[in-house]
Amino acid sequence: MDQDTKIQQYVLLAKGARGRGLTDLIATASADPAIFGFGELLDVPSIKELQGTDLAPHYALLQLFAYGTWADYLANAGSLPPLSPAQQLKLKQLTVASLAACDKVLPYARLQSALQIGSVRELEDFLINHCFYSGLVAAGKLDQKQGCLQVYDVLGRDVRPEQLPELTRRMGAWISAGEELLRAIEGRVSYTSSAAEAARAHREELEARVEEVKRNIKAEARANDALLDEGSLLDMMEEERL
Amino acid sequence: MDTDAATRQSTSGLEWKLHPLVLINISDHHTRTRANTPAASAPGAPAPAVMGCLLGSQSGRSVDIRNSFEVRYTTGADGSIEVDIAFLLKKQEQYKQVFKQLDVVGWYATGSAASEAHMACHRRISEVVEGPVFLLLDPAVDHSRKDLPVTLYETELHLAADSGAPGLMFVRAPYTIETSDAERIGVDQVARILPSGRATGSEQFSAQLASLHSAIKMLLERLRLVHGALGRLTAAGAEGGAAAAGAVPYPHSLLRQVSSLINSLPACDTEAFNREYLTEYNDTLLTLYLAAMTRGTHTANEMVDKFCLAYDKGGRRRGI
Repeated sequence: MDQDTKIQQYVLLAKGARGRGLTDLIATASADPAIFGFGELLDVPSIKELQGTDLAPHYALLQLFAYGTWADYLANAGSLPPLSPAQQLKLKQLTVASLAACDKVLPYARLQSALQIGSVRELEDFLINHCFYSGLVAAGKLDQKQGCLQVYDVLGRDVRPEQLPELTRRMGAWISAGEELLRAIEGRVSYTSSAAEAARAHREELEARVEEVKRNIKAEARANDALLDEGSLLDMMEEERL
Repeated sequence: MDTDAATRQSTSGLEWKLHPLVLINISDHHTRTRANTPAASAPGAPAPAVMGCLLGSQSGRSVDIRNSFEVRYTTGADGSIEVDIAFLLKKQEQYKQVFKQLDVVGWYATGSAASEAHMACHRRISEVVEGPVFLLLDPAVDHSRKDLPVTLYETELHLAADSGAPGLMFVRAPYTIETSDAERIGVDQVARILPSGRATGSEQFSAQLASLHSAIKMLLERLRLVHGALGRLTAAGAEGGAAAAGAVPYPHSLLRQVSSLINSLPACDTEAFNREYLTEYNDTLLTLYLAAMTRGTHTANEMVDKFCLAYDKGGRRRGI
């Protein structure tokens, strides 16, 4: 993945630099149009050191890009360094990714308020140019009539360590649902085969009985024909009237 | 003796690749001969051995055995097998005209073990073809065996154990089954239809469900792997503070992909989808119900007709 190699490049650069140099690095990385994940950068020791110093706002900025949204930025604008237009664009893209992760269908109104984009036209341009073409939303549709964005597949954002148990739990739920499906399929297959078997046996039994009755009637008919010569017409007519 | 070839392995280093068409041909030939010979189709009688030639192509050290044709032979009084060489040569020429890349690479026979008679035949055939391989198919159906009852033998010059003189001996050659996509589809169809004689509806349904089952099983295997990895990460994080301090560095890109995957579930749970799905489900059920009702009415109608016919109160005699 291109993203991974680029991130590795930044990580290597970060390992070499210290202090002030890192602020530029953070700015470039967060503005880079190809990178949507910043977890690796957050893990680099030299960047972690920024937390205590007066460059802490930059670290907070990196954390914002890794886990936060546009709304978070607006709320904390005072304590964070100013964002260049490229960074703002990136943050908005990441916001869309976060929203898409929770809901598959995002109404335009919600997107507009989250991204603070005025018109529907601008929103659609933004979505088309910066979400679809950049590969953030890997598969999705714009439904203009109902005014919503339908998302099928979106690039994941960084995962906090605290979110891991939740992720594991959901995966476990998926696996058990799959197992239940397997059992259901097996049940269906055995049901089909046993039902087919039973139907076949029933049909054969029926045919056997029909054959038997036919044979009996034929035997009777022959016996009756033999008696016919003895003039027992009266008996036969009585039989018919029954 | 040549028959302890079962313990020897070939040292020629050639790779033999067997295509399923050859196996189907041989088993078909055997079944046909068995069915057409009245004496042999009685249970318990030994099946007549069938023989034929193997066609294939060689490239480097690997030989592909792709096709085969049958060959006439007569059994001599002492059990020796006399192959009709003229027929073999004619067939070989004819096949060469159609399939230019295929040459005769060996011959096959059915039987339970390689015998002296086979060796004699092999010598005869090696006059026509150079370096032939001998394929032995055991037609006895053994349900406990998991692998194919097919063995490939090559001949090598070995010192015979008893006489000390050098002689040709059969040595086993390892082989692999190789299929192209078209062959796989064909064999799959044959395998599905053959056992029951015809593929009934319920069996096709079961087959489809079975393939679905295996696909889902594979998916679940892989999911369990990832799930296990996640579990280990969680455990490491819970006990030891920063997960990066542990043996496994926190795999960011992996987690990003996993989270995007999990967030795509449930894949479709919207109102519109549910409605569509239920509508289609109900439609199918209604159609089935209608069909069942029609069948029932039809049967009832027939029964009433028969009843009227049988117990006609008109009093006139019915002719038998």
